[in-house]
Amino acid sequence: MSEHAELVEIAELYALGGVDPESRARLEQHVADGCAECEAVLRANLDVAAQLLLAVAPVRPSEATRARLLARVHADELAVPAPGSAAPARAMGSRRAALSRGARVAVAAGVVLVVGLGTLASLLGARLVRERAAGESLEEILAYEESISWALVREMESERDRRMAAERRLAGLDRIVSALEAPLARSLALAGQGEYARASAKAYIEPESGRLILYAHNLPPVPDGRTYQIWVIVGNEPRSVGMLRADSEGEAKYDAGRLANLHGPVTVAVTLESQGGSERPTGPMVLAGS
Amino acid sequence: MKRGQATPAASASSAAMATDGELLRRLSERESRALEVLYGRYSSYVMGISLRMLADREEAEEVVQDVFWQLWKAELRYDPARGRFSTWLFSVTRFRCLDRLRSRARSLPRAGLHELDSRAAPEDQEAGVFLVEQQKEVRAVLAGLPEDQRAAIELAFFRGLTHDEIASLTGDALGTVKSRIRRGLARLREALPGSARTWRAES
Repeated sequence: MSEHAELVEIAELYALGGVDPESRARLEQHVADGCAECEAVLRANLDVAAQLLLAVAPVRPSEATRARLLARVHADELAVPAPGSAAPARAMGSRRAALSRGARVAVAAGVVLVVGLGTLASLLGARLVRERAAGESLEEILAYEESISWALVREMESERDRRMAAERRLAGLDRIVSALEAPLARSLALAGQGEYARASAKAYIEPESGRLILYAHNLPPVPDGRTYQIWVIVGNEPRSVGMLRADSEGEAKYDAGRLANLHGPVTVAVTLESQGGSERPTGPMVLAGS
Repeated sequence: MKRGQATPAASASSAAMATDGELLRRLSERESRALEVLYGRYSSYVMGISLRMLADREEAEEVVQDVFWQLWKAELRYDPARGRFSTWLFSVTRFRCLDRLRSRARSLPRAGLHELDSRAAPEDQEAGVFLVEQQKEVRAVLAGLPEDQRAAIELAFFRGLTHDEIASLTGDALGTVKSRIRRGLARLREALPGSARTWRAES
């Protein structure tokens, strides 16, 4: 069998796994050298392989798995501050520093892996990398390589698990400390106004930290060139908090992070303003509550 | 206005009706509900593949946890330019299982051939209805393969065995194993739509 015919055969078998490392390396070099035929063979068979996974009968995982996953996810959702909110000002410095050392180790391990994959990617040739259409097979090949270096990946994963466990503990601690330190958060119901009567929202305010989170429901889509803008009124002075973007179902969440001075009577309102927002509320009132 | 009449229950069910793309966008904004819906839609498939590959219920459940947790933590990143989300997710699942099979191979004796028949009984699935038709088709094509071809493909693809290992397991010559897999692949390429777009079998 000629060298090329042999390589076509390897290219065919590659997608299903089971090819020995030496043959894999030969094929990768060959494709990197620009053999379009082998690349096409590779791609067609990766396509078949992906479809084979569909043949497997679905089996419902246990309820415990679902419950454990969702509990983890919900805890994590609360633990990580939403983008835009300021970092907690508590004296957690030393513990955070210890954590970030762990994170650096994980990042370093990741870098090793990425370098390994990078070498393969360059082996496969810039052409394959450049072509968007080739992305899928390259991705699969890279993922395959990733699975080969499982030892490294596992090491990374256990480091990451340790780090995440530490982060979760810290976040839990952080929340308990805040709950003890801060007076209870106030909640504020915002009612839909006028033609927005069906809309509603709830604002949660922690006076001590000055944090405000707003959840809105049933917001109609904004007309072109307009935006929903959130205001906080303490005394007589309305302050813009930010723009509220609703999803296709009219649901919106806004975490204003830490605003100064939310002591005393507070009014929260949402108005419809021109895109980019206004200095002071001008448009129709959508939601309001004090 | 129609939207204005939506109740909270209606908005929860519309999350269940959202497209994968919409759910992934929401997931990137760290909305746990989106993960919940994706879990309902695909966890049975991830579990099915894991169970088929690992033949170990507990380990398969761990893979389900890992895959969806990493999806939540954005440690797994899906690029829509690379085809359908479900296809990508299932491939990721397979690679996770191969990892586990490899690490297991170091410490445990290799699973025997007989385990291949311990297939999971089909159970009902929650969503992903569009996959069902395609699934029937792939299964029918696989079932139509001669047994020796199907077994060889299964050992390589789902069990992560090398051709050498398959040969010693079945007692066949290495060349026989390879040509079996190639013949099986050629039939699959012909029978599965969209798979042989760029290339014809050259045998």
